Amino acid sequence: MQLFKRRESVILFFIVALIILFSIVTSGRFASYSNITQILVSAVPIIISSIGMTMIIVTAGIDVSAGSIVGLVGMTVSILSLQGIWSPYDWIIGILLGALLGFFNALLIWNLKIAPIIATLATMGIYRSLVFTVSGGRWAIGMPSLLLWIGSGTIFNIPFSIFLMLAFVIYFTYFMSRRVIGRNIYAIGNNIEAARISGVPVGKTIFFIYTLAGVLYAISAFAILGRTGLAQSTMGTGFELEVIAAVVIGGTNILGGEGTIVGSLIGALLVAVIKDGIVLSNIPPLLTDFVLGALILIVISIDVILKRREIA
Amino acid sequence: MINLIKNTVINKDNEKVSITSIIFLNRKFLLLSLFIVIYAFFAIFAHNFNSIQNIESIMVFSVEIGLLALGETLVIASGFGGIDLSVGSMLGLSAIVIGELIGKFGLNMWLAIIIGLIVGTGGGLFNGLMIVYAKIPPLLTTLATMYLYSSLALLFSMDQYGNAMPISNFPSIYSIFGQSSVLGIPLQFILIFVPITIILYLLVQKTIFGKHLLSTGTDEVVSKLSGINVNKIRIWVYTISGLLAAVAALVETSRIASARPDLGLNMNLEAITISVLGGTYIFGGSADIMAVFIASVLVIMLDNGLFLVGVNTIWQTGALGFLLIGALILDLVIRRRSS
Amino acid sequence: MENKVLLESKRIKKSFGGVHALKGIDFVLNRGEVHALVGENGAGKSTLIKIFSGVVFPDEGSIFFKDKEIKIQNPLDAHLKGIVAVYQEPLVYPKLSVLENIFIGNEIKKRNGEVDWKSEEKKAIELFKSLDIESEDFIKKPIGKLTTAIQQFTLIAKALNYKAEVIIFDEPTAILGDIDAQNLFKIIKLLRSNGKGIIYISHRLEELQGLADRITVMRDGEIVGSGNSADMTRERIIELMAGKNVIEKVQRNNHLEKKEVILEVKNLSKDGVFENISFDLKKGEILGFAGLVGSGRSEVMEAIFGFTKYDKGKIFLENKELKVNKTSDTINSGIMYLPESRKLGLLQNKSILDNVGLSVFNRFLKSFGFINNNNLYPSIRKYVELLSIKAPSLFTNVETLSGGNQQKVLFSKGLIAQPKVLILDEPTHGIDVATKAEIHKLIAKLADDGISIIVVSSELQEIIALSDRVIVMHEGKITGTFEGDQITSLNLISAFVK
Repeated sequence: MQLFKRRESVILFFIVALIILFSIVTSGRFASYSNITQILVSAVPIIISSIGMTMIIVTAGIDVSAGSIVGLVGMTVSILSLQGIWSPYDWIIGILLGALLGFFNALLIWNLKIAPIIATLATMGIYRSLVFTVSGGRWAIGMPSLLLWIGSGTIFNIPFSIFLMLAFVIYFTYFMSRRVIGRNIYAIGNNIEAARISGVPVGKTIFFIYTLAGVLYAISAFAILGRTGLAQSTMGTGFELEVIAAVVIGGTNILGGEGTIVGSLIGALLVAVIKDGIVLSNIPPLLTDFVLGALILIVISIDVILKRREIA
Repeated sequence: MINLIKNTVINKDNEKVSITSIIFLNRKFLLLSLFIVIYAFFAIFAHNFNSIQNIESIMVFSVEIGLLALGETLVIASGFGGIDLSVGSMLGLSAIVIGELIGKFGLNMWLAIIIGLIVGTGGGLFNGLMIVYAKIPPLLTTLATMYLYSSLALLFSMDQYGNAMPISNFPSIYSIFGQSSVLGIPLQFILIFVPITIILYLLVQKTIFGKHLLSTGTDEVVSKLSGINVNKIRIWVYTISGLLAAVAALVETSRIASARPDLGLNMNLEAITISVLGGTYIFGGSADIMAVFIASVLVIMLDNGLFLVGVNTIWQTGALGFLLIGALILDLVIRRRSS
Repeated sequence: MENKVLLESKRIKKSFGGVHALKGIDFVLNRGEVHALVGENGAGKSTLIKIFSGVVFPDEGSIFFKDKEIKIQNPLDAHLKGIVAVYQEPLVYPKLSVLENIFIGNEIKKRNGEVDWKSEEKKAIELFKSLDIESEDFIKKPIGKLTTAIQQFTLIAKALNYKAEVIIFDEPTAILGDIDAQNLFKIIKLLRSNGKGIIYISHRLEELQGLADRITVMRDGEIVGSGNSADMTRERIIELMAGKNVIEKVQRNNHLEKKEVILEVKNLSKDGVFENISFDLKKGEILGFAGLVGSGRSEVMEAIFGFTKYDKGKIFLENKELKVNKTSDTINSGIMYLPESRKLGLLQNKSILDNVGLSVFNRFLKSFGFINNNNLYPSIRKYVELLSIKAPSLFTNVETLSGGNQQKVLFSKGLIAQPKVLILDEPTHGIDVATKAEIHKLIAKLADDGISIIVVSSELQEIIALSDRVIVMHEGKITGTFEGDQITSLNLISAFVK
């Protein structure tokens, strides 16, 4: 029941404002159909992964291994397809692999009681090494177009990945508000003791969210592959930070307890709009990171100020 | 060997404890034992591992990441979710500032170095202020400043066309920090890393600041009730972390005789990992400087050894991950045992 | 024919580390009854409640629910059996709506496994209706933004959703306003008429008169009296709570001489917490602050100490105004505060040295901020010996020490600062009788040596034994001051029980 709150509307407003601004600066190129589609397509992997990351952060956890999982799944799947394995099988293997990697994260966090930041820091390194092992240091290129279809195919001229992303967002928004596990996620983030006492299966929920996140990272990897057409061992580096930024800007509280998938989607869109706008406006693209960083700080500061005003 | 295990020792509390428990309970001893084991292993199986050249190489490489890990240790020890994801970026920023000042503007080398140190310190200070006064959680603040500082570095290094240009025209005397030796030992190790380690060790163990720091990280409320200014302590450790990153920048740019804006980009997580490996408790309150020092050298030695036996460098990160998990499992077992 | 007795405990005993919290409790709760539980702090009420609600396991004794013996494994188990407790600080999910707070862990599902919001909303409104509350307005609002009263009502609705038959209230009106309290009483009476059994803990005797059917008084881990509320008059209850005056007053010297005023507090106020607190403290005096938990005493002390801010008022130390800002300033001026639980006062996993010295390192410095252990260690050792702290060495971690010894470490921490004013908050909480006496003697000696001491305590015996004067606080105000012979448990309890 947490669909739309004030925060999302504010960010949406900024998105619209930025679109107008960039359109003016680029004499209309920014607002063209092809560019807007470009923006959406580039945002798809982040949005899909942010679904899992939102759930994780709502429980006051975090997952910095996302990028390494994307890289590992992307590379594995590419190599398998180059060996001649039919693409749909590759996808299935990729999804299972993503689930396994996420499951391992949950194992470290729940059974070994390692703090999420540390556990996923460790797996981030381990999974990244595995990427290299699997690839032998070589790039994977020339994958069959079927494999790349998730990221590059179109239906009625609209990129398939956008449909995929919408489907996930719609389903998981429903999921968070209407399925028991969804509710339990919020409960755990709000008051883990009360949740435990009320009989919420905390352990099972933790395993669920990290494993699901792994699956979603895998699908993001497919989308990225489709767009870029190649896989290197650095695939996905830095990805997790973009996802976390999108989630945080979109209103999810880093301390847990509240946050929506739609919010993260809007946060991701804002980031994508800014990145694309900067490039198109001939502003040095190096500035993007600066804006991203400044944005996070500004947004959170506003949050904190608002919260203090509430308490007072 | 069995006798060794049965041997006991009297500890500070006048209790008898076994040697194995000392090794496992005391992080420094554990790391030292591990160190010896790993060293022995590679000395046997890796070609040229045991040479003076190689040992020097290990010392050289341990300085930069070690300084970052030490800064990280202080930050994590201050508790309250303390962590610093921006150390790598502060390194890059300081590096570029020094490089640009010397290379492009022809500023006096020492002046440039001082300014570079100030920049790094300023970055850390900004982190501290945001965390303490804007009350933004450290993870988020340093995540944001990570982006901020690295893009600033890129900005400063840009030429008129918007390309990032590395600086390579350092005066030859600049290489003294990173490429020279004192009595056969690399200068940055013996004159920078070791002294800084000792200073930090004394700071944490023997000064009032250290006591206050560990107290703050252990329990904020108790500390406040005991008259400790927890805000001041926190701002200080983030600032020190920035300063150490700047020192590391000095060493690295001197070593490779160039300054690039992407220096330090992947070092954040390694720094944190080494700190945790050195026994730093993620929730604050403990800072074993010596153990972190040993951990830094150990990890570099491990990387070096793996490289020499032909394992691909990418596995260095993997090995680090396994080491980390191993250390944490050990912590868990110890905690279960004592409760 | 339904059984009349709903919940019963037989010979329940519980100890925490050598301290007997419950010495054998036989308690009976009937259907359709509001049974009030009254007693000082430390009497054992909370422990008994925790046993019924599954938070704590009894050492001995048995529990019967509807005439069948049961074992309550954990809070969830208690819920499922139909026993629910509502605490003063409601256990809620602050950012989730009232509706969600009721149903988390216990959702109404549709055939396909989906959460049935519509049915839940209907059920929630029904539950509130059965409590005579119109809930459409707030049912979807995040509970963290609503009043404590609504939070409590939500927990009651939640309890009813668990088909609770026993509902336990632990001081529910302590943080409610009058109107909300009246609403709560209405609800409780409604629940009673529906056959529920209610256990109601409260100190407000006047509210019990209209509400409770039976009243049980506990003292020192035992039930000392029980009966119909008609028979349990206010006087009788107070008498039972107070017990006999068999406390040894500590031996004091310099008792009768007039000493100068060392601390003066004038009209200290903090909105919503305490109001117009004014008092004097003379040199070498022991001033006791009595009252119930939540009366605001600790909050006043924290404000004087500089740990928290206050809104109005002035504080004078040795006739100079104390502009209180930071605890380090107050400590340097000569006021030392030892908080009410060892958890707040000690760093558990650090050594005796690190703990005792924590506030005073700045007095033992060499150059460059280095700590002068040559001076520090002997100082600390002095206090360790003075207080007879039993520990293997100064480097021992305090968490391995007994409660009594930990308290002594806390004392040393206070004393080493050589304060002029020492504020002790619950100085012998949870400590065995022998060590208690030791500490009391110590406090007396300190006062004789010229240290002015404020003792905040919820244990009447302790206040009576130690104090030269007693100030009683109730709900943030001073309700009585007593001196010398007037310090009796009867007088004190009358002042803090409205």
